[in-house]
Amino acid sequence: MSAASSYTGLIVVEAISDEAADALVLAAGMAGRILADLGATVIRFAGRDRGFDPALDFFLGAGKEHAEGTDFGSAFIPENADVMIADATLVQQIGRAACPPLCALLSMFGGAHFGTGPAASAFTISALGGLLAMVGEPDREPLKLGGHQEAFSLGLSVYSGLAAALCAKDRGRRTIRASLLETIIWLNWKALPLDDHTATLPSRAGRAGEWQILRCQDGYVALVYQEPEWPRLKQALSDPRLETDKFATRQSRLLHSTDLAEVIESCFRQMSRVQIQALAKYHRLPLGPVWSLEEALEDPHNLARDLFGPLKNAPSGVKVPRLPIGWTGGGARHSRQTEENGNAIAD
Amino acid sequence: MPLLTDCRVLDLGIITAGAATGALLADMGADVIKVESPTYRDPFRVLGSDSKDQVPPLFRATNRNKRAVSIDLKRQDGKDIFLRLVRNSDVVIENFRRGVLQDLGIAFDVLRAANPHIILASISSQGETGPDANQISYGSTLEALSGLAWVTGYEKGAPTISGRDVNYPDQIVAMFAAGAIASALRAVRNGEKAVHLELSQRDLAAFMIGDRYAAISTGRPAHRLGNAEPPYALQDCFLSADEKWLAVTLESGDVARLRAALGGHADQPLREKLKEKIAGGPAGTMISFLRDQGISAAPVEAGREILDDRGTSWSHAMLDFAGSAVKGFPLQVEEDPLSIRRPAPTIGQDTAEILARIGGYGATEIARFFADGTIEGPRAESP
Repeated sequence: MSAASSYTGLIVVEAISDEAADALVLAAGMAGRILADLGATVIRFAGRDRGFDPALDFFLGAGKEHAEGTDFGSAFIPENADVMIADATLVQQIGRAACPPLCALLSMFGGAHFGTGPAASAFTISALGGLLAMVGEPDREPLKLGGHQEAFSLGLSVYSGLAAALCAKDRGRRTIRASLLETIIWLNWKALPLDDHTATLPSRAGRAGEWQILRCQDGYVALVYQEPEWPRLKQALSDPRLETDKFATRQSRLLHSTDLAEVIESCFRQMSRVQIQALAKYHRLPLGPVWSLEEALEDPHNLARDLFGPLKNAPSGVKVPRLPIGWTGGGARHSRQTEENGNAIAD
Repeated sequence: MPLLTDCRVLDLGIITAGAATGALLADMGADVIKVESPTYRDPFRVLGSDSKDQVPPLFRATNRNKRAVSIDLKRQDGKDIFLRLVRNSDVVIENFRRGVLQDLGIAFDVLRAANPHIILASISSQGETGPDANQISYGSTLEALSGLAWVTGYEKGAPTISGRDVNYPDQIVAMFAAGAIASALRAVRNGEKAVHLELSQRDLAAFMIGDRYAAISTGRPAHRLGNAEPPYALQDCFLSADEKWLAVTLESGDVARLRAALGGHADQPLREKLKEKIAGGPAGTMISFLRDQGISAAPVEAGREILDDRGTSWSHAMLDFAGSAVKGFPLQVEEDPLSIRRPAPTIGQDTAEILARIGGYGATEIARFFADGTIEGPRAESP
């Protein structure tokens, strides 16, 4: 047995009703995609055309069987299905009893609004969950993370719940309830008051942030460090301006964070990203050169790890990151994606 | 019966990525034992520490529902104790710097020798292999390296990271790792031998923009789009008269309806009209106006405002337990609700009991380990 065969024989139905928000299609798609890579037979009901980029369909649809039609009567669920990933409204319509024993119900909202609530998108849920308030410049509009992070995170949440249910010793009926807003708040937990309800809570700091993106000679670098790394960062950059009193303690660096960023950026501008990466390795600093996606495809670390591979049912040349589960044991050595079956397999 | 009943986890995880993975497994019913050492603590025991509070908020948030032992794994006796616990456990979680587990003498082969059905989950920054595997990094380092930072940012602006207070890859890996461990547990329960899971945060961050990689590999460049997102006609934040940011997503089917509701000149771009409209009234009124048109709109909330919505639009992502706020659950199970059953443990809180009941050690041996510093924690009371 290997990563690719964890769920061999398991039949999963992935169905989101046409009325449901786009984010639930993407979340269900991500959860189903992981299960498909781990060996499940995933039947994905296409639903209405939502105008998604074809790249989304390539990525989320890989390794699945695709069923056309959107008439979600109870007859559409195969009798031998083990798992259903669906929006809460759809399950309410067809009845829980008509669904497989294990069911993941997806919703934009939790609480009293589970399966209901006002019109919402992943973007507006990110606003309600506070994640939007954490990214970007403080004097500009809040900023979403790139891609479909909110919806895909809900997909991870659904996967974790289903995976736990699938190894339960008793195989009774189980209903997982997962909402986008609960997931976002769970991810953004540090932004909520944990202790002192009068304390200043974090928000987007932009140029004043301890961690931020700075320019370098040929692009951008993420300035990331914790207190233990500060002496090594100073040593690596060898700039006397970093030795001044205003940067002597974390508190004073926070007070002068914009000045600090300017000094460090002026050092970075003398170096390329590759040079900064080498410097970071030598001094054990967590600096991160910002790779474009094209550069990441050719990055030596990613190549050495065989991170990117082709997808089944996608045009020739399409490459995506494989499912990031390395699985050693029982004769299996590593999991990776293959063109032949689109699944994670042992090699 | 909770989902992960009869699953025992030895949790060497620290800070967020490792500790939150163990927490999620504990929430789903696993017996999770946090393993620390007299010479090494989870750094979250110190960060944000308050002298009045023995268990600091960050630690408390991600370690509730766990028991705790403290064993000096650098001593042979400590290693022997740990391996005896491994014999009676299902999972070991670690997110140390690469090489630490080998240095401690408890690498996968050693664990597998102790228990041929053990699952070792290694949650790393950049994986077990590759030229950057030993490179020190935090979540936002990996946003940069994975391409996520490249696709995040204002239109025509610089790449952007989530930053220290979100540290996004650290958060998502906990959900993913909990799922992967459960998948491996199913395999082991179905006859698989010991499994070593390698879970790289950098790889996961790349996977989370897999669709963007699919797009660029067909020759379409990846631009930073700010808050815009195809196929939506418009998506962005707008400032209301009371200086509150409102997030709005406008689907193509909403455009005509919104234009009609906004009125004004037909030639004026919709974005400008909407911006003017929202700037002309308080946030609450503008949200109602947009929602009345069936448009997705919400205030950008933060901190305490989010808590105000508890019960209405969310309920279990954060919880109060014993008078303190702790991290809750991203999901819930109707038939076997996840719950907080115990507070985060003090250092080695359950050492004596765990050595006796799981390790099978006698009182004399346990007393000796306490005396020579191999273990620490409150000593069992004499019968």
